Amino acid sequence: MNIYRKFTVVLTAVLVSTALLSGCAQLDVIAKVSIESFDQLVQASDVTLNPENNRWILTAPDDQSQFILSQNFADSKQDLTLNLDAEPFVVAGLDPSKLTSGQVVDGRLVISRDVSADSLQTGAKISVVDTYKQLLQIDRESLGYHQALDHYGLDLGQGNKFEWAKDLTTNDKDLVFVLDPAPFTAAGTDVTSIEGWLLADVEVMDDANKPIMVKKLLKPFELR
Amino acid sequence: MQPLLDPQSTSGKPVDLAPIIATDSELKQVAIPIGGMTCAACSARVEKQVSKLTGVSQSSVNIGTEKGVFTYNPAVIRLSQIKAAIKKAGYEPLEIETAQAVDADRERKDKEIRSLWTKFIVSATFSIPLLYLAMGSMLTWWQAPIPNFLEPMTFPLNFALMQILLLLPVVIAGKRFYSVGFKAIWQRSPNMDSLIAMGTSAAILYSLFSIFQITQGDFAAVEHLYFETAGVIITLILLGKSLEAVSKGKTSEAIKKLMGLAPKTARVVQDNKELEIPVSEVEPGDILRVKPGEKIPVDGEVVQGYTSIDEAMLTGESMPVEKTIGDLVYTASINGNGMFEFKATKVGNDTALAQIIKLVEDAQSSKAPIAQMADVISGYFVPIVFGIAVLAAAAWLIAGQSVVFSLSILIAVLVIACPCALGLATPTAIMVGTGKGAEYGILIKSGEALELAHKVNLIVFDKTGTITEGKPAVTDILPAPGFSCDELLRLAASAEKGSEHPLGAAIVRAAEEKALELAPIDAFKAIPGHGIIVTIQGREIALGNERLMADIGIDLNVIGDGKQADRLAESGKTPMAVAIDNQFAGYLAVADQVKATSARAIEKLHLMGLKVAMITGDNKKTAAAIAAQVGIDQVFAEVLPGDKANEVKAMQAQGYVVAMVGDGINDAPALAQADIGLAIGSGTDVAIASADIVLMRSDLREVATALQLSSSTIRNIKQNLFWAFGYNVLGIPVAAGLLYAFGGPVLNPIIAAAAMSMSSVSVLTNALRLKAFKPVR
Repeated sequence: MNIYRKFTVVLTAVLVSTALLSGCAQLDVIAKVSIESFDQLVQASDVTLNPENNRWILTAPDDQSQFILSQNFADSKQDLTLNLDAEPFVVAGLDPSKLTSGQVVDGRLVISRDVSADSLQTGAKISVVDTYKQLLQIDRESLGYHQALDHYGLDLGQGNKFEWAKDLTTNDKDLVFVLDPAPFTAAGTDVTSIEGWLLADVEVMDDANKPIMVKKLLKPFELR
Repeated sequence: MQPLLDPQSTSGKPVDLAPIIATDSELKQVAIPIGGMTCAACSARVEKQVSKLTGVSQSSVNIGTEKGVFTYNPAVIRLSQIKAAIKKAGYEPLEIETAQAVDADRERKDKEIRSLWTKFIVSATFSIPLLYLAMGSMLTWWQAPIPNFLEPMTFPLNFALMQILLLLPVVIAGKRFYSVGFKAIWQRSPNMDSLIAMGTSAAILYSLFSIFQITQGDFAAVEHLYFETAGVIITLILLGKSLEAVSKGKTSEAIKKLMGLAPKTARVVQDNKELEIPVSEVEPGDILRVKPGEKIPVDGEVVQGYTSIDEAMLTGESMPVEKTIGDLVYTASINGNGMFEFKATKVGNDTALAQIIKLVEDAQSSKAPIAQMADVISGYFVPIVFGIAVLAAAAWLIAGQSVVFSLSILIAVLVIACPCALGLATPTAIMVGTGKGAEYGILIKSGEALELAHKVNLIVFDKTGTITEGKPAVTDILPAPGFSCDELLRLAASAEKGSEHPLGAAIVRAAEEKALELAPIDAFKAIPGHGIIVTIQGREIALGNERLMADIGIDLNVIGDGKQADRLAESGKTPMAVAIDNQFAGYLAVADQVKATSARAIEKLHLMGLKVAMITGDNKKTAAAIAAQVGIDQVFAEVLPGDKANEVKAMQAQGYVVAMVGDGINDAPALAQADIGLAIGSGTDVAIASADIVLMRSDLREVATALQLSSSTIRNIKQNLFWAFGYNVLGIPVAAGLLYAFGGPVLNPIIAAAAMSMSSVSVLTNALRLKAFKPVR
């Protein structure tokens, strides 16, 4: 076999392997480990199913902050939701009318994302972790890993996230609600003085997957 | 000078010496091309392995020429066992070179260069995306897009496996580093490949461990992947090796040029028919025809025709030489306008061209003392570097640095310390230097001669045939009363008939020109340094210098005022006294013309700060006259042939480093005694064999050229060694983290690999500068 043919064979093998890599879910260790981690989170948190709207509700220890995961994306436009107490924001100067319509409802700050219109498996045997697995199958990109804090994060769009520690036993920030401060600042909020919330510099990845530092509003909880 | 064959075993192993100690004639020397050697440690390893063999008395391996020269006793050991030992050392003994294998060797080297370039291209093709993938995400100032499925913080395993995929072809391209390197470690003789293999393997193994950690959920381990380090190191080393192979090829260009001179076919005349046959089929005795413009296929003697031949390839002399029946012609010289036939006398490896090639090759394969020193250092270098690398890594670990940092130190030290530049520094300069010498018609027979020549501070010239043309002619015939000019000349010529001595030949020539009939000799007695006494037709004829006449009691004061001989000698002529039947018969004066270039050559040597002496058996006055003509500082006249060497020895005892320049058999002992012997190529075979340097042209200016070439080569070697040593002396502490310890930067292993490759390339490039050598005329 001449050298050019060898070269072509090796190059082809690398390209084929690359294609296989790109589609092989088994190699997605972040997603795989995140399922175990999410299960840990669920075990350590108050998670209930709201039968009225078929949504899983994870409530933080302050009983105010909630992460809501739709049981079936086909049923709603709010597949992933952060449901938070709006009062501290209002006290800090927030003018709710200046936020996007529907973000402040009945004293609650609602930030949500429509992941897809796919039908998910539902029923008594389907757990919140099963729903989470289906979320990853449908939209793997919504899951990220934040190395600096050893956190997983679900992307709610516009710079907002729901994060939890990969290992609850070693991390002191087991659960973190993350908000982009920009819209709140624009709506008159003094983001440095929102009670219960911390304005901090956080490393995130930009569109080109480069790490950049940005300001974020954080509300962390320790579960264990 | 070193004897060619040394029966002393170098192995140091207790052996039964009886079958091993052989006389020079029982020993054989073989040059075996060896494949797979990469540095001085490799050549040292082969030398060591072969030296261990019982029956091998000398083992010298040159990394520059990639050849080993082994002296062995065929009664004790077979060549196949030597080859097996080379193989056991981890290298490939290649076909032993013959004139016919030259093309095959060239093809092999070209193939090796092509193969290295291909490996480099493959390696670079995969290393560049590997480097991009690995480092692109870390370069915050550069928006290097990476597909999402390879994003390290989202799909770390994909990111790592993709790097393995890209690294695999690179490792395959550089697999020789691992096969040779680990084998050398296993055999406790690590070489440059061992350093590369260890350095990159450490990077790869640690990265594989990181992948395992990723699979276990430790995603931060994605930052501890060093596949790109291994890949780029291999690529850069392959680049260095490719450039090195190309440069090495250039260093031996001179010899290739010589090899390429010989024509491939010859026109043999059989039964009056012309037949074109391969030159390898020409046998001595064949009659060959050469047409105008063609090259002479083998050495021979003209039997028919007349022509002029360009022998520049042999002598460097651009003027064509006229040839007629009886004249010798040489392989690869170019025929002028005439067509002629000649009888082949020397074919194959016996031709003058083959001998020149062998001389140059032997010189290129030989090791100068400075090279031996570099080899010894290189032999210890690799194990020491292993030690330094491990110690430095351990020290940083103990000092509290991370495993990753310590690993990076280990890899950087291993990679930067490859002693290839050190190993190449001397042989490459000697190859270029000896090759350049060949271009000027200066055949340097050993690296040692090339190294020593620049230290010469006294040049001693033989007179006849060296400073002078060596073709003296009779200028004066001064018969004593009672003798005629013709009678004196006839008897003197009869006495000298058949003499090879230039003075004798001149007398015979003069008699032949006068068509005098020479008488046969009945008895002949030579008195070295004095003359001859012969019996012709019952008459005793003594012919020689005044000492001879004094010894046999001849009174010379019968012509004029008795000062005839002095006057002749003072004008640079050699007076030869003739006595017939114990009666002085007269003087014959013979003068040898000084070569047109001799005075300029000696002036040049003076300008170089050298002392110049002349040594001759001629009388003091003649010698002084010649010396005055050319500007010689010191004259040793009336020196008997056997005493020339003693005179040289005496000058050496005074602290001079002496170069002797001569051409005759009588010069051979002095040429051998001198620190450097330079033989004129037109001289005798014995003189050429005794000399260290052969000047193919009879132009003494080439003596200065040879010395200048030696100086330039040694300067080049010293520069090479300085850079090679300096590079390692500076590079190793930096790689070991010395600067970092004082707040400076730490050396990235990739930069270390680039520096290592560039050090070899810079040494080779510097050696190639010698190709531009031009003597100061």
